[in-house]
Amino acid sequence: MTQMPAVDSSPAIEVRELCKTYRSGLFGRSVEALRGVSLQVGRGEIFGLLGPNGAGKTTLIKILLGIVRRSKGHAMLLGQPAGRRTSRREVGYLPENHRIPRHHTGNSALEYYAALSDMPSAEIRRRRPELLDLVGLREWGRTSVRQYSKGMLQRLGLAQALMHDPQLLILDEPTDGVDPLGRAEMRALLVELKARGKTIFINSHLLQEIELVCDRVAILHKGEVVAVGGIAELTRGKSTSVVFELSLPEGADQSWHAALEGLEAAVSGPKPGGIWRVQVAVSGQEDVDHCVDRLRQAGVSIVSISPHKLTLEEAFLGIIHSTQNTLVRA
Amino acid sequence: MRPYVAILKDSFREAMASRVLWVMLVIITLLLVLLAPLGLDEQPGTVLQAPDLRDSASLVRKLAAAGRSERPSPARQVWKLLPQELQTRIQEAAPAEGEDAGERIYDYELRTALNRVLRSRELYDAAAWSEVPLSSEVQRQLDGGLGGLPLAQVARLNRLLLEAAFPEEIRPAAGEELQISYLGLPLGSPLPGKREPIVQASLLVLMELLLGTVGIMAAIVVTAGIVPQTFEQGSIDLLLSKPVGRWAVFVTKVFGGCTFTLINVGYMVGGLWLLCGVRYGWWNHRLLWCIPLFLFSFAIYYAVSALSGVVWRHAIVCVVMTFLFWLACTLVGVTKQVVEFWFLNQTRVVNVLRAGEDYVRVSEGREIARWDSAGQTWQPILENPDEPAVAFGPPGPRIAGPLYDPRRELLVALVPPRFQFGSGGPGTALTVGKRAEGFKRLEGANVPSGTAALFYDDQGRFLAVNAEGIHRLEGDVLQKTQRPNIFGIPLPLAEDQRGFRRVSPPLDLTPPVYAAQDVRTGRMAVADARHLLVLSPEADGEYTVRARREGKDGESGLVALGGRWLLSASAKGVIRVLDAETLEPLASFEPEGGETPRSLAATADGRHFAVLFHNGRLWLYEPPQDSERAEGRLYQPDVADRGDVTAVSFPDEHTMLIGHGFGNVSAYRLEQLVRLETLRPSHGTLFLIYRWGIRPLYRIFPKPGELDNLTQYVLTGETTVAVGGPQNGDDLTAGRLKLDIWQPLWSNLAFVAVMLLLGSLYVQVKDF
Repeated sequence: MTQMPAVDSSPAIEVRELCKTYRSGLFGRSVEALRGVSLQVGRGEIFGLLGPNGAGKTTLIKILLGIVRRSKGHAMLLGQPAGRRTSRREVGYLPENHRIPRHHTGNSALEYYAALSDMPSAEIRRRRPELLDLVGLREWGRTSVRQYSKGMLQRLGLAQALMHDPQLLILDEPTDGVDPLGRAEMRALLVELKARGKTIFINSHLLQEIELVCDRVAILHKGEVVAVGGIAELTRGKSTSVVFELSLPEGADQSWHAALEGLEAAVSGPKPGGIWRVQVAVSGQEDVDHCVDRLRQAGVSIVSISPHKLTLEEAFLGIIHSTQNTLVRA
Repeated sequence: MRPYVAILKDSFREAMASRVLWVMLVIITLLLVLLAPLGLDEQPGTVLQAPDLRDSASLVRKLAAAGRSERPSPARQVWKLLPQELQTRIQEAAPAEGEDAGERIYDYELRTALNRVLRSRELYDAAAWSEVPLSSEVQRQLDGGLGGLPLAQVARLNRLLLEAAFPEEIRPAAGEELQISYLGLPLGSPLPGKREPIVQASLLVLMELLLGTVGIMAAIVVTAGIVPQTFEQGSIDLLLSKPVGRWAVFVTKVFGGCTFTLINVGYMVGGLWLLCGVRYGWWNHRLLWCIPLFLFSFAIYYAVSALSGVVWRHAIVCVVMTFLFWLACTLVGVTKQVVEFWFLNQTRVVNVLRAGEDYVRVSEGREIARWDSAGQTWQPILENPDEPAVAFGPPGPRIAGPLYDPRRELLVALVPPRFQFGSGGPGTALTVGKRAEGFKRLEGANVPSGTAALFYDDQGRFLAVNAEGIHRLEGDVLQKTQRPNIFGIPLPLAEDQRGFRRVSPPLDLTPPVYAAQDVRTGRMAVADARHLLVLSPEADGEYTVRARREGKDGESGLVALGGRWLLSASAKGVIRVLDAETLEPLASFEPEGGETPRSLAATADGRHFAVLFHNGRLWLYEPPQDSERAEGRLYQPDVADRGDVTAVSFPDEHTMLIGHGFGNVSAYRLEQLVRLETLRPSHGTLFLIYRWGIRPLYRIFPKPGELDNLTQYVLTGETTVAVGGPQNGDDLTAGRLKLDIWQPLWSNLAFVAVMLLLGSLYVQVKDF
């Protein structure tokens, strides 16, 4: 009987109750960067890590890569303890504000970092043009990195992270300094990599980027995971609202506003064409029907009714504010 | 392994991308190009050196006589070429009969003037040299005419002409000299000596200055940024995200940082090696060892820079810390050297003997003293109030003796003045002390110039040996001589021997000369660097040469005579055992490699010989007592302060005295080598500071500066160097500084290892 190779079903990243306390200064002043972080990233998933500055995002990544030691908790990478050399072999990392030594050309930099990943020379020579082509630097391989723009350096950084064909890609602010066209190309690349079964872990401030490519996100705030879930899940929010587009009859006055009394509503307009936009908070279909009735009684024509969806940014800000308020109250 | 090879390869790439590297390579290339036209032509000696003047007084007299005569003669030819002012002074110094003598002529003045004459094409005149027998070589050259000869050949020919004309006054030129030229044009007068040591010394200075000091400092500044840049944010996290070990990255990066220096040092040393080989035919492969040595020297400083780099991650901090490290090491090293060389070494015993019941020693600082057992100290004797022994300073000319005459209870020594105007000067008065007067200094008879050793014969008459031969004192040793001096320094005037008469045929040796006596038979062995002679006293008191052996230059040297055996030690440390009658070689040893021997001694019965080397190691040799053990037994005795022995002597056939450490003397019974007693003088505060402060500090400190010793050893193969000027360089008995070769190497290796370990630990635990 032929034995099938075992398929590793362990999560790409698994973190439980992870804590990190930095100590600095003469008297050992301590700063808690991570306070019991737990999350899981499945294989083949694009996972976004969000959080304000100082939330502990980079610390979490560095712990995963063994660059920073954890104080407490448990972290696994591709089924192996985080930081272990064998687990790093399968990881491609693009750090924030990375520095590629200035004596390199694009070609030599890729050769250097690939060799650090223990790639044979022949393999490096084979992969290098492919990768440069993939990140749009085909013509720049022999050029010194001194002459590279920030965006080009970022592309080269991504290429080095991909050189050894890793299972897991950890990208810290990957689109930093990249122009909109480049960002679109990078998004397409990430989607393609996902299609190839790679796991991608992104840390970025650009929430739109995250929203566009990520399957799931975690929001980190002051060293704690305050939210984690799919994009749709996070943007749906706890309370919903409905947006009405209204058309008023000729000569109508402001009396129709009375129909909105007692409702949590925001009115804007009129837009060109005399269309008014009213966003009303509702708790269910009953509330929607009640609103329709009251508006119709006031003689207002309802052009459209649509449920209002939060952007990721709004969801993020909402979560952060509510967390802050909770902390203040506490 | 591949990732670390990648880091090393990257360091090469980084070095090659450095503009400073290319600037350095261009500078080195220019230097090599500038050195290439330098010519170093070895030629037979022409320049008159101090020892070449055999009898300057006679020469002055001959020149003065020629000045008063119109008859063609070699002296007249020389006279005509002398400057007017010197002619006048020569006439005054050697006046005609009935006139008063005026100011006398110093040897160096005469030599300077004669050396100018040697370069003149006007010296030779057929009529003047008509009565002088000339060698066929000289005659052939003269027949060809002087007109077309290069200046170097003219000088050589003139030297041969002078030697032929003044055989009693001028010695044949010994050895070779070096004419330095540039683009074929001679630069100044030839230098005495051979090409190889001069090139070695020049290379040493050049490399230590350019590579050891300027090069290393420049490399430290240039490479200071490598480690901080590697460990700065954005760079280190990229590096550590790869499957590499932290400490291995650090160590590899440090080694990689040495690449810049490796390229520069390799290029310069390789270039010099090639230049010496191609240009001068001197292929010294030892020179190539300087590449790893200078690289290691840099690595010591770079280890400090690298550790600072990971901790502070700032290039300027690295440079400052490295500079402070250099300062601290230099301070400790220089303090130790100054205290040792200028102060403590002066107390080392260089000669020890028994004077009746007393122990007498001579120190490196030229102090003669006897042991005061009550005070546990050495009490100075034979002190010269005009020239007291000094507690610090460089070593002066060596003291011959002292000898103890038990019959008259006299102690006799030859104490040359500390400052001499060159060697080969006039005779110096013997220093004599009577036991009855507490060995208070008395001035005795003058010895012949260049006296190297003193002995007395079976009738108690003093013998002095110099390059001319063996001289015997016919009068009383306390026969006082009045000699002119300035501020207590005897003037080196013309020869002034009173009382000593040569009792051997002229030996015509070249200083330095070494001599030994077999006290049982009165037989003497006399040697220079090339010749070895054995002379025996005849019934009429004259000495005749019984055996003579001539070898290559440097083959001969120190001698010891005892029983049927003669030991000869060359400057290169080869000890030869010869038959004392026939000088037939019987065996040879080289127990300390190329180390220079310091002294030889033998018991009167010839059963024990001692060989002491400048590195402080003592060897004993027992000649074969039967035919089966043809080579005898050579071994290192288990004595006090092994490796730091400074003197050895055999006061009788059963006892050996050694000087060791700082001023200590131990007596041993030769049978079973039992220690009889040790004299340890109490030391002053400086010694205590040295022993408990400076020396321990020096031990634990790294010694990057002392790696120069290893470089010197690698180039020359010598573990000691001559001190006290070049005139002492050839004299095997003269003080030599022991090079501390291996301890700095181990100490520096340990230091680099500790720095790398600390850096690795820091990198291993640090959160980046």
